[in-house]
Amino acid sequence: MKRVLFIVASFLILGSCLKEPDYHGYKVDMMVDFGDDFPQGQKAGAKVVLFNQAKAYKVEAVTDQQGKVQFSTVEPGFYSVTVSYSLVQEESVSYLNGIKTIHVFGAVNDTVKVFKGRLSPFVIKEYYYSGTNTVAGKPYSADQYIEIVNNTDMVQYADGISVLEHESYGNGENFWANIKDTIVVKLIWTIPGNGKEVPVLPGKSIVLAQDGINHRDDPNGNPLSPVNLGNADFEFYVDEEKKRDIDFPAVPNLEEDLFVFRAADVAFHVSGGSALAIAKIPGNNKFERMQYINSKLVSKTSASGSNVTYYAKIANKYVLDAVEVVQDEARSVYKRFPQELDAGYTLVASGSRSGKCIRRKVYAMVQGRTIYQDTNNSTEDFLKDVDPRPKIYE
Amino acid sequence: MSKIFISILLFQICLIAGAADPDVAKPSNLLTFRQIEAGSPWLRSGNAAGLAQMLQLFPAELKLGFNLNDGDFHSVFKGKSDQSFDFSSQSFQKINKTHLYGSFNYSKSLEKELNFSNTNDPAMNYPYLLTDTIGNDTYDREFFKLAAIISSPVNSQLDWGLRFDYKVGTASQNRDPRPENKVLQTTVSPGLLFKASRFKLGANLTYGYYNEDIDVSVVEENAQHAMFQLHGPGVFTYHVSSSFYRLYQQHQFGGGLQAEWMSGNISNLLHSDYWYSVQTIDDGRRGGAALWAATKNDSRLDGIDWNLTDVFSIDKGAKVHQLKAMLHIVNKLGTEFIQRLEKVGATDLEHWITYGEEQKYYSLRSNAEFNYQLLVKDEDDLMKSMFNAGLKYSAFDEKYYLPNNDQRYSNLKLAASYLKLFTFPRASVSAEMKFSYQFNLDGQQNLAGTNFLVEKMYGPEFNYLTEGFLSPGVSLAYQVPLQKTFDKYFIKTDFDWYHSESGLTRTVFSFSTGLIF
Repeated sequence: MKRVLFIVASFLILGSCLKEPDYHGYKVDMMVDFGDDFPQGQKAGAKVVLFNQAKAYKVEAVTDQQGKVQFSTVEPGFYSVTVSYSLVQEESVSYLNGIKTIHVFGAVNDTVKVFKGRLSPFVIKEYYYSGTNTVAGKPYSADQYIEIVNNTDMVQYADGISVLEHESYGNGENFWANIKDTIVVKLIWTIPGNGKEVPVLPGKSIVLAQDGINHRDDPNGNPLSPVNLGNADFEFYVDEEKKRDIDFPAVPNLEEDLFVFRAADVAFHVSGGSALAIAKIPGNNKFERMQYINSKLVSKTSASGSNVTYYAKIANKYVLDAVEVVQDEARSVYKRFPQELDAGYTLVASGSRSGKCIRRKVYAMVQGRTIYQDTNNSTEDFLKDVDPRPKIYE
Repeated sequence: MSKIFISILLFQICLIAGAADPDVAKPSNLLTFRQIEAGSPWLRSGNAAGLAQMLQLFPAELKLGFNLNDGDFHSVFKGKSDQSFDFSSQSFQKINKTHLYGSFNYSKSLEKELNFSNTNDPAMNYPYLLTDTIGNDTYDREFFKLAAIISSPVNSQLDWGLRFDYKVGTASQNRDPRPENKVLQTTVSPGLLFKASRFKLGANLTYGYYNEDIDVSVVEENAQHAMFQLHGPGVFTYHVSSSFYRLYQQHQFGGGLQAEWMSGNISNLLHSDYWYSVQTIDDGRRGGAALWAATKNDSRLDGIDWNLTDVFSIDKGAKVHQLKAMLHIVNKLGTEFIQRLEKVGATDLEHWITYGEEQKYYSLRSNAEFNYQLLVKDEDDLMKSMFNAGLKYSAFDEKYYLPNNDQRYSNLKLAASYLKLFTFPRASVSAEMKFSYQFNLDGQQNLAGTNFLVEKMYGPEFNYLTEGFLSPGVSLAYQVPLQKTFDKYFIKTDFDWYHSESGLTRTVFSFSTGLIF
């Protein structure tokens, strides 16, 4: 009897424990491709960030003299690799950025190509799209705005600069990925003028509002809105037969060049996904711009085949700045803007109706002028989930 | 659902009514259920067929109770206070040669000042918990429990038995984000018991199913909140949404073996149970939106639960000495699913596509316990007094790999209690004094990095789990006989007080009143 009990007890003890996890940590070797004409001695020091898209954490390392970097134990999953590097040559700074999505389900040995970003005189300083609730709990997003800042030490003219919205909300693979050196947009609105009518002082900005009112006080507004846009420089006004959009006379209107899904007003996706750019489209006036736009139309047929929609492709060389806004981290894999325009992405993580926005980081203060960080990588350049503060430069 | 429970209640009343005229009518008092539990090792063996080996006492009771658990010394996954009202009934009886047990319990409770849990029972789902960080919540719970055991002889040497447990209820919070948890837990366990002159051998099988469906909603229109899906010490993912769906499902399979040897007034019962469980944790979400149209497999938790218990008894009639030694091991292995949201099929709908599974979490909980019990009975075989003294060693070790996080600790607990019944011509009074003291033997928490949840949850929880405390307690009960229908009326109150090394305290108070018959 004792023997039987001993055997039974031994069996239970031996079978009672699970093995320790059979987990994997893979080696990830990344080579940063700086291009053939890059100075050989300056490849060290590029920051390479490995971002786990499911768990939203990142690990960082810097390249060695050969432009290589190694992450020794990386858990399996999907990662975005971003490279950012500031190159100082002859007392001027230029930024190189690269981005790539990698699958880590074994050892990885891959290359990321970096592109030299152009430093634009105008950059997007703030983009507020999340909206808020009204006192009655209804959604309110008429207080959306885009703020563009003069990031130079000279007066710059903003008239002729257009706001562009990418065709896709980034919910799937970029349909236009094969059309090189351009971005495809569904919205183009332009600051009116002949190129010398809207001066912007160094370090100062202009605000492009959906509706140019003090949203907190105006009867058409919302007391819970975080912003007063009564002093906005321009507003989006959709002039249509039904006059559903109110034209606030104190704030001049932007010029409508392209509005594919024409609605009562220009409204950006409150959950994110509206990837924005500012560009200087060829043409000295609306007529010339429209000639260019109409010559660059591309079509997309609906899944059912019954509808054909036309969008405009704008060459990358005309784009001054771009910010790839995604709805959530999971959708960051669907990159829309090319790396030379925006090597990263950003978002308001607290979501729609949060009253939060994204704001460009301050790089330095020089003689009272705020210089904003512009590395052409919105992951690095923007603060997430901050309170909207148009025309405050801190 | 209410019809089901009215039916269950009627079933219980029938069972209790039937108990009024059992084959063997012995008197009972307010300690009889306690006596049966303490003096019937077979009842705790897990084999339903062992019900017939219980002390031949057949009490029944109807009870109303109030319980209050309040204080700062608590797990971070629990609220500061928990108060509940419950109605319960239970009965042992014997009809011909068949032994029966039935119990029913309805409880309504409020757990207040809860900060970090959206799961009904965090211990059940650990480490894969769901939480938000908006604190000061209240969990409002309503639960029904039913248990039934039947045991009957097949022949003079073989008994069969069946045990059935069923628990169902809801739990909901009153602040955004507000989870509504629907919980169902059931176990069925058939068993056999072979009896020889000096030996008894038993075996039973067990199947258990647990289901917790959580629907988190945000009432404030168009507002969104971050929901945190915990994966292990210091590791989590989060999801910002105006709603969230999570489903825990667990299947448990196992069984037990029992062997008893008897000689004169000495007996020794050795029993062991072994269960394997698999729990899956699924989320209903598609990218930024939460909906069951796309199911994201979050993780899976495999578990082993094994215990080995030996109960040695010396029955000298009026005095029963009992020595119990127990070893209990709970071992868990957590696996995470690596998925990506992709458009698939002709409809271009987004679905989570699985690219791999990765074992990430491991835990081992070991408890060893040694206990001595002396039960003193009167001439009617009813318990007069009971002394208990015990020593419990518990150790817990958990690991998460990449990033490499681990924590481990062990505690030792000493506990003693003395219960005595004072009998008067018209009434009886029982009094019990309790004392326990726990101290930490060792503890180590190694987390690769810190974050908000480490600071708010894992750090404080580790401190709680490794903190020593002492706990005195007292229990008083009073019973008076009744003339008609029911045998006795009783009131009972329990009070336990915990005082931790860091000065935190917790009070556990309960009051109950009811009828014994």
